[in-house]
Amino acid sequence: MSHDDKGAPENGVDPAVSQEAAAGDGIAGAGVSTQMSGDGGAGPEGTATRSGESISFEQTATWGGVFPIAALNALLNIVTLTLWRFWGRTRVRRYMWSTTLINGTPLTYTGSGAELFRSFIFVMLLIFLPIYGGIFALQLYLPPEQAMMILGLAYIPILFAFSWLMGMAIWIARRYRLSRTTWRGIRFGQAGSANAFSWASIGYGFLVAVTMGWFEPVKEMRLSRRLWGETFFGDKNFDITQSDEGLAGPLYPTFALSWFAGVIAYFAAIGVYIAMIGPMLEAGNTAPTMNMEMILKLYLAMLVFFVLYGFFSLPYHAALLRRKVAILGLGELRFSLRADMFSLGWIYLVNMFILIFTLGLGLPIAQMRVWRYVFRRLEAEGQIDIDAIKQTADRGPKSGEGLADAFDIGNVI
Amino acid sequence: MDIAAHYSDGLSAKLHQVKLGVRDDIVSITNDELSVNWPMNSLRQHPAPADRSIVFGPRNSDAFISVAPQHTDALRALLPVLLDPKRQRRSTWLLGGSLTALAAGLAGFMVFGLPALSGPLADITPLEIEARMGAQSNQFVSMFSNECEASELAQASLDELGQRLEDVSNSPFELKLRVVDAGFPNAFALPGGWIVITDDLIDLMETPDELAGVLAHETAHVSQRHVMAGQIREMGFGMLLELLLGGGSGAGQELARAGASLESIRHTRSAETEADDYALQYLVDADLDPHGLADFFDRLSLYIEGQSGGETSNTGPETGPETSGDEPADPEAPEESVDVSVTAEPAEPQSDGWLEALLRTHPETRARAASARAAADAIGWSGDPAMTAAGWAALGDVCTDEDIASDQATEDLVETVRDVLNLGDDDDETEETPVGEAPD
Repeated sequence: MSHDDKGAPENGVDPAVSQEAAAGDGIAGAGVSTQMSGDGGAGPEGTATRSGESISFEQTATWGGVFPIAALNALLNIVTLTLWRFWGRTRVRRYMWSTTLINGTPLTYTGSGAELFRSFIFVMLLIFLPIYGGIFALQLYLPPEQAMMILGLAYIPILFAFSWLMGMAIWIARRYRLSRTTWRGIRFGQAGSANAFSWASIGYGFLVAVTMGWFEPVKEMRLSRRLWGETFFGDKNFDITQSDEGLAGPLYPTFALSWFAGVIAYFAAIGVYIAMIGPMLEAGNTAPTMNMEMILKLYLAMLVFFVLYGFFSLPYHAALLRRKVAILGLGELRFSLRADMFSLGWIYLVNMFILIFTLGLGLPIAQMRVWRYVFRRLEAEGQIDIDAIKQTADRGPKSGEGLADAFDIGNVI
Repeated sequence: MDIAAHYSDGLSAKLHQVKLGVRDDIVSITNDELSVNWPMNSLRQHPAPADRSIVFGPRNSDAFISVAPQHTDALRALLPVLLDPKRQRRSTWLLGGSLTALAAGLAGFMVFGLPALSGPLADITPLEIEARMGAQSNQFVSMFSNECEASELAQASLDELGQRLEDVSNSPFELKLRVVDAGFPNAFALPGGWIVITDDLIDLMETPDELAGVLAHETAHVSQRHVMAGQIREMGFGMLLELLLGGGSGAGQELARAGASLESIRHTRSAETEADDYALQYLVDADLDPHGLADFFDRLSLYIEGQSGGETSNTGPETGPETSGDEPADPEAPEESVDVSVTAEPAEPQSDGWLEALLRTHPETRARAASARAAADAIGWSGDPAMTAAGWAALGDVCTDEDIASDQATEDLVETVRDVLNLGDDDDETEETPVGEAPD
């Protein structure tokens, strides 16, 4: 606190100075840009006018950079019985963020492992312990039939409560990550309400179920709009450049492909399975020793499903990514992502092998590949007056994503 | 000496190209338009970005200075204390060390503290709570097995035997014995005095004295409140473990879970040995055949050997179902059977390697038989059988007349397919259902 106060007067000089600088920019702006980025950034900035600069993204993460982090994390996770995971995740993020350059300046991740750890402990003690304690007490103090009945009746509400918590978790974790992300010292942020987001995702989820999946693209886009529409960089709000109508419209051709591929793949897998075990059944050979073989064949049939369905949903996945980015704007900036099914499919495929062969320990590498994919293919059109973007007072939450961690969805970048 | 740097004031996104200098514990940042001074002791170094540039700024402020890698050596010379690389390394070690110590402490408590506490805690657990848990577990057993209609004579013989053991054991609970239909020989105690015996176990035995031996063993679990202690241990263990792991499913977390189940097995075994000792005492006090337990263990050994040799040698009609060895240690049903059974071991024919020894929930059967026999030899007994021949015969008839065998194979198949399809949702279920039961 005292440091903050002490720092303030000294910093207090700056606003005036920087205002001045912004006003008399011609020289200062050019001066900054030429020295700041020896690598390519100078070009567009050189032509920058008073009103703005264009934006370019760069991602310099490498296997060699992330591997030592992943290896150390794996080791320490074992030694600390996984308590290290909060700090480990923080290190991975720091690396990922600091290799993401915008106009030559890296993003900074300012979160800490202690924040994540604290939040996790809170959630465990304040939310999950009481829930499980309550269920246990119910079982103990009520006659079995009655306890079973109450739990049975409460099943749907409990399920509901958990999906609500899950939605909250996603939103809260996102706000934490954004508030701990800075560029040139300016924080990102998330406004809005976790509760509203959570109810929206429950409602959309219901519609997806009712429409046998066909609402999925709308759900994805509306949730994405809801999140990004309330995302800030400093005092500047991201906007959604697309109205409600037609938000998800362009996704439907590829979604239809994936949906029908799913149905066909399902029947194909069943067909393959029956063809494989048919002779066995006819021979009446159902001895226990054959079970292993049957399970293997079942896996094979499932593989048929996943390969078929996976391949034909790639166009949708790529389109969804593109669409989520395409509706984004920040001031005069418009964003686009060059994602296509083959490059994305390659990322997914290799990641799958990484995760399988490292028993999940390679997760940071897999995450790095996705992150790098996005930022290497991200483009911004238009210009923005970067110097005019000011810090927000909102420092974000005090601690991290415990709820998400409890649901095992916290380990996302 | 001045060093080129970038300065962010933490108030706007403008990046300032500045010169950095140090004089008298003051870091000064200047260019044509601005001049900022930071007292050295108000500063902290930020975690190093991937490009190895150095970033630092005042604590609790968004302002910072970033110095490119080519200038960091010069900067370090200017700010040796603030940028001491040992500092960051030291804090990493400190953090790693504290977390390791914390983890070790928690693990230590789980491995030593909890088991030590579980006995006394079980002793002070109100009887009605355990009784309630027992009633519930009993219902679960009914859900997962076919109840058998025991004839009046059979149940009466069983109850009488139970009464005799109850009298000598000072059991806090009334012993409630029941026979269920299951495809494996097993007997286990539930909380609150319930003892469940499978029909296959009775079929396996040849005299009621063996049954008395097994029941004496289970009675010991009840009277010593092993079941409750086990429940407390498992519950505390599970809770702490989940607290530690956070419900995650990473590789490290799975590893820790595997270690945890090994740990639980270790404690189960010590309870088994204790129960064997008490069982002998009960048999003596109730004037039952002290060799009953040893005889039963012998038979169990034969059964196990028959099982493992079953593939090659035909061991006759007695060779029944293949038991899934970890059945009693089933994580899905912790309140159902706290692994206090006298069940068949997942024994391998000859090899008794360290892995088998490690995974064994019960002491090795042959050794148990030997020690039970040695102890029994020193004890006298009136020679009266544990129950009348008619009662024993009636008990043998329980669960025999159903024609389950023919459908069993089909049922298994359906079960297996269903389990695999359900994969991920509750793969514990596969352990619940013994896979591969053959008709007798």
